[in-house]
Amino acid sequence: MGKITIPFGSQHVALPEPVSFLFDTQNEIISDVHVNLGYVHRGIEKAAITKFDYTNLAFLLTRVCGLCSITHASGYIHGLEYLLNAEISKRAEYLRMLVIELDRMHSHLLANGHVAEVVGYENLFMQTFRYREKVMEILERLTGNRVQFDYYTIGGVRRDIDLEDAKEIKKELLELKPKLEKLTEFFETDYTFGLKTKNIGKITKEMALEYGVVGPIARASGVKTDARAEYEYLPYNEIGYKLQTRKDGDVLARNLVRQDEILNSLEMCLNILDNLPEGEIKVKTKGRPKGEVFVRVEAPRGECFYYLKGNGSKIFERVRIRVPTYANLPILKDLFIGEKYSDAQAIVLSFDPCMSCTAR
Amino acid sequence: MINPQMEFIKVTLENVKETIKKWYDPNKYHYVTINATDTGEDITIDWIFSDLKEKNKIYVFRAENIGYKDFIPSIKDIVKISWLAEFELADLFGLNVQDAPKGVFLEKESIQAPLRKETKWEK
Amino acid sequence: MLKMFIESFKNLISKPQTLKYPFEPSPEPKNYRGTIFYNEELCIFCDKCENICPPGAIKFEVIDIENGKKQYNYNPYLCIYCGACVDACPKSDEGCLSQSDKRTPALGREVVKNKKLGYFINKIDNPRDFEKEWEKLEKRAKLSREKLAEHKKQQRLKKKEQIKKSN
Repeated sequence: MGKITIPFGSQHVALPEPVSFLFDTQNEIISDVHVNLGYVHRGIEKAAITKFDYTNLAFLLTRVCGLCSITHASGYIHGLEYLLNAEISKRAEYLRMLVIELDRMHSHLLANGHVAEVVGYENLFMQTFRYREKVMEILERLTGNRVQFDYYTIGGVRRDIDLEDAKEIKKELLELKPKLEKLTEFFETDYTFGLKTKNIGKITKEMALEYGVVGPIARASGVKTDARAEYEYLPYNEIGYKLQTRKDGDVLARNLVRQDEILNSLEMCLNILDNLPEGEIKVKTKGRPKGEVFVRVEAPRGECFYYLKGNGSKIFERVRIRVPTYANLPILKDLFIGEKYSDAQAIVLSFDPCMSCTAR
Repeated sequence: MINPQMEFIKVTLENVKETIKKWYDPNKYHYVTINATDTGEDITIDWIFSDLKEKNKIYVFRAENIGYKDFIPSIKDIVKISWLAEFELADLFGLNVQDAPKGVFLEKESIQAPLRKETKWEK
Repeated sequence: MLKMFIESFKNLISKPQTLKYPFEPSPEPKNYRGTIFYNEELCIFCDKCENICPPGAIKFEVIDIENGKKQYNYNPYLCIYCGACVDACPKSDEGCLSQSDKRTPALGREVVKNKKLGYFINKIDNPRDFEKEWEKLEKRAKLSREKLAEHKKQQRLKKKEQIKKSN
């Protein structure tokens, strides 16, 4: 049979964000892929070096992306604090970790839910999103907003947590824990879900290293990489952080790594709430950013990289954002080749692509 | 506070490919990205890598004083995924990168080379 | 698969997770981030809120250059409700700028009027003019700032001359 070109995106029911793939297929097997990803380029890097002072740049960067908004703020503010030579209090660090981990939980639940949806398992999708809503309610209680938290500020965090809130959040997290464990079991043991996800879009360890894959996708292939362990930006070793890996490297393994990380994050959140140190939540900083710094932080989707260059004035000379999806796109493109067109959706969504991050 | 161990390695456009080829090992190092900075008169390009084992380590291969029209070699035969960052250099900085088409990140009607200092924000 | 089936069956008889929102209230969480309210009597016109506002939704217009009198203008359509202005305000403890923790009516077909929302929004009747008028205001505010700076500069020069003369 001849070659048929099928467009996938930029608008597609399976895609949460605009990216366009053009598949050349032969008998439903994909033979070539063309990508177009500039649909949501908003010129954020340009705005960061022309319109925004270092004092309010975090609010702009928070809005690069909804799901990893706190990561962008953390990448920027950790770098800025290094340039300003500011030491922040332990309490602020713990509160930062609390919000980052809760954010990771809700982002992973969204990704897993989407995979369940595109393989045609609506029931599991609903179940996942029901639990995600709980996490988002906790976040709303902590930060005042569901998505764009604006929790980070230069020298600390913007809101403190009181005893009543801490107690309530702990109660809700403890209630959530058995439910999430059950959810992991569903993902792991469900026969029909396995049919569509096992041995699909397989990435071997060698491939993952060669392509420089980051985040849960790399960890699902057995690569031990995590910016939380490789780059010390917050005291993760104090709150029971464990690196999660799986070996199979297929769609299911990626889901399960995320599921394991959700449980680990939940454990960490409980530890933080139990051992929250006393102290100030914000310290004053002096001076203006001068010099350059490279920051790596772990976003829900993988390693997020920030490069900041200041010249002693209010406005930065260069702000470079390299987001996890940006690192994972090249392998995604090559991975399609040889797969069935019907599996393409599950493969894309198991990568949890975030196009508004990538195009910036 | 973070404690990045940044190691700068000076390169030129002529020898960058050789230097990276000799040094790079996918089992030891992780390719992060390629970054360009417009200083107002010329361009600085960084090829950034991190270490898979050593904590906080970041390697930067830096080529300075690059003209706006200079030919920039691609490292895609050494690091397989560098093409995406190279396409971005061609689009957002309007640089002349080996094998990089324009129009992946920007539409044709939009402002070209937006990240250059001389490019104005408003039309 | 059996486990999921049991779970699904349980869901059939359990209470719904969602709220029947328009018929049932959807309460705001504690510390909800809502509209910014302003109290002119307490304001010291330090411009800190204007300088920090990321989208530029707060603009002070100088209306009387002789006395340096300013007017607070706020655009809730542009606001991102981050609350940076409230943090920056030196008198926020007393309630000069505050963030409402209740939801305000949706801003859309009608312009919501409230004295606390500043001067700009109370002058507008047709929501379609909103954007144009705000653009005009931005230009006006910028111009008035320049005029004020010029005025101050000349006053300083005058003072210097007076001191010279008296010497």
